[in-house]
Amino acid sequence: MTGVREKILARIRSASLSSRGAVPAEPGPDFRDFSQEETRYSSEEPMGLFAQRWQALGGVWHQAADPLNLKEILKNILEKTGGGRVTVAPSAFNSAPELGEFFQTLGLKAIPPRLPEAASASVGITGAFLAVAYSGSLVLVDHDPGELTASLLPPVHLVLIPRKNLVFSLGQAVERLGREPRPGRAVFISGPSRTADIELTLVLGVHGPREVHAVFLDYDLGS
Amino acid sequence: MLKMPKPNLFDLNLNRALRNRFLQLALKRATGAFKDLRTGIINDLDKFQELRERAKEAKDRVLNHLDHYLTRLEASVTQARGRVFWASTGDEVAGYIVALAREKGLKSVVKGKSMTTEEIGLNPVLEQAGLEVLETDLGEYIIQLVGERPSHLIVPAVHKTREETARLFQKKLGLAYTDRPEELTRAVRDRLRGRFLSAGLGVTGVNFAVAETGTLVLLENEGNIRMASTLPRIHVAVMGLEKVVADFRDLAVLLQILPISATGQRLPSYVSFINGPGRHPGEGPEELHLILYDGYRTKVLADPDFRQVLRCLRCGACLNFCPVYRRIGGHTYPWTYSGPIGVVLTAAARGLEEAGDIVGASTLCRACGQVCPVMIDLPELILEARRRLAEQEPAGPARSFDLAARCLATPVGFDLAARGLSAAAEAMIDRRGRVRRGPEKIWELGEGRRLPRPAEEPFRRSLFKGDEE
Repeated sequence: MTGVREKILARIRSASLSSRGAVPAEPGPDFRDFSQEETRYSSEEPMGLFAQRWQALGGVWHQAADPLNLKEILKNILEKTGGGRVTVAPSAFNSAPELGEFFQTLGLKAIPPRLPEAASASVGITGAFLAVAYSGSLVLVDHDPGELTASLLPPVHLVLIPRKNLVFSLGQAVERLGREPRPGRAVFISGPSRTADIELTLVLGVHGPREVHAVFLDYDLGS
Repeated sequence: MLKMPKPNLFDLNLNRALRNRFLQLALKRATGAFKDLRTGIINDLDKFQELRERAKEAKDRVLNHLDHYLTRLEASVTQARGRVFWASTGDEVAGYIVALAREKGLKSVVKGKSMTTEEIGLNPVLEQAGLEVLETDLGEYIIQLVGERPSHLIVPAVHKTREETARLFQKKLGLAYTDRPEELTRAVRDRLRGRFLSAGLGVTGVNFAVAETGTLVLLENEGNIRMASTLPRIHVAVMGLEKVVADFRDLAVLLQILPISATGQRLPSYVSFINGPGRHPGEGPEELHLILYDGYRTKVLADPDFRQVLRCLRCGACLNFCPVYRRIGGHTYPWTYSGPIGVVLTAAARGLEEAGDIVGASTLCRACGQVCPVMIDLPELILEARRRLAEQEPAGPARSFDLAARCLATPVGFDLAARGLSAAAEAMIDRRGRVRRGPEKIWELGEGRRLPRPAEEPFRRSLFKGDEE
């Protein structure tokens, strides 16, 4: 098969002969923000912009002032979604260590975030590696097992966002994902799964979750 | 005369599209919605023009040194434990996938939406080899059930009514009739979920492949691409050579401009970054295969005029803004791609013969060139295609135009021509000014129309009358 490879490369070289100089040196890192959201919103916290954009996409927004408040919020969501079968990824426990104890008091047993068990879960809980205010996006990475399963298969997805993980621009998020140790898989999630393929009618929850909750942890871990 | 391989087919498709009232409404709504969303976001961006220039620069960087960046990509993907396969032709792509499926004993394939595999016509080849192939994007799923091809880059089934889809699902899936999009969508979700979990092979396209790191980037709204690239044992990603991006810095630029141009979203629901096979069981495949596909790309690279079409991100903005596409829809175009980019890609990749009449399907209003996120000079390339077509013609028409021009340049010649044409026009119409049945070519244009009667006295003569007296 090297034959094909060499032929393609030879075609490229003969096509490019007339026009090019040397391969340009790698330009320095420059993750520009063309939206200038950062300057425009600098008076506010990025949280306000994130909340606005996230909700515009059809996501549900919650803000937890402290761990106690977080428990109330979670309890409410789980009651509303009839969350009998909950699967929890390690990043959720990392974001909110009190989660384990919380599940015990509720008498809930979390399903491990792996197949086949998690295939029937009705709620998946993960933590966010990053949140991007510009696009109202959450970023999950596979540093631990279970992140992708818990965020993709259940119809309801709940994401905990540690305050320090919020950035303004897409450029900042991409730059962060390029740093070592790079994840094997990362996914930007911007609202629920959606389609408009039938007569341009918006339908939520095609293959991924139809309901996505972002819970912003507006306190420092360990406080 | 122009050499037109399929003039009747073009006319037929064109007339069918123009008479289809649903299609007219659907195209207007879809393209209008995307236009408005895009404009809304751009108004919010301070430096959109600068972003476009950076996006163009990012694509040109790799196109100028495609050999360097492709071998770099190959090394990075290999280092991340992925496998890289080079393919010159669509048959080689299909052959590789078939052989892989046989070797692993896999029977069923779940597919993410990919224009590159549409180009190749991958599905029929896989099916002939005994594989069961399932498109999983909702629009592509509908198109596959009826055996058609996509008619828009982003909304492939834009030409289907909900009733058509309802009857289709009733007939092919045995579903009770419903034309509610939520219920139709739910039915597809339920049917496909199990297939994702059981299919051994996922096949997707690629939006960007980062040479520096070997990261594949895929954009979508439904979640089917996440499924197809995460759940099956083997993931095969098929990319055109031009999809390679130098580094994360350029990726950040292109990632900002693509969704704005495509759907007027800042980001779609899901953007996946994939680096090698999965790291945990069930979260990514055991094997990741990347196919680097040429097809026409190196050929176009060697054409200094058309080379810039290789910047194309397949966003569909030029379709949405094209007054011609908005009336005639995607199926009037002869090849996989439609709209202004379709005209230019068809001419560059498939040749002028296949492009044929579609090269004329542009008003040259230049909107396409203004919205293109990577600044492809689409209007100029459409003109270039026309120029090349004209050069292929026998010299006949050009010579007669030449003669006419010389004749009209003299007062006597002009007067003679004006009198002749006036007499001809007089003969063509009846008393009420209706065009008479006559030679087929004239009748085609004139049927049912009225023409004003030529003036008794030519304008020139009445104009100069005063001077003579």
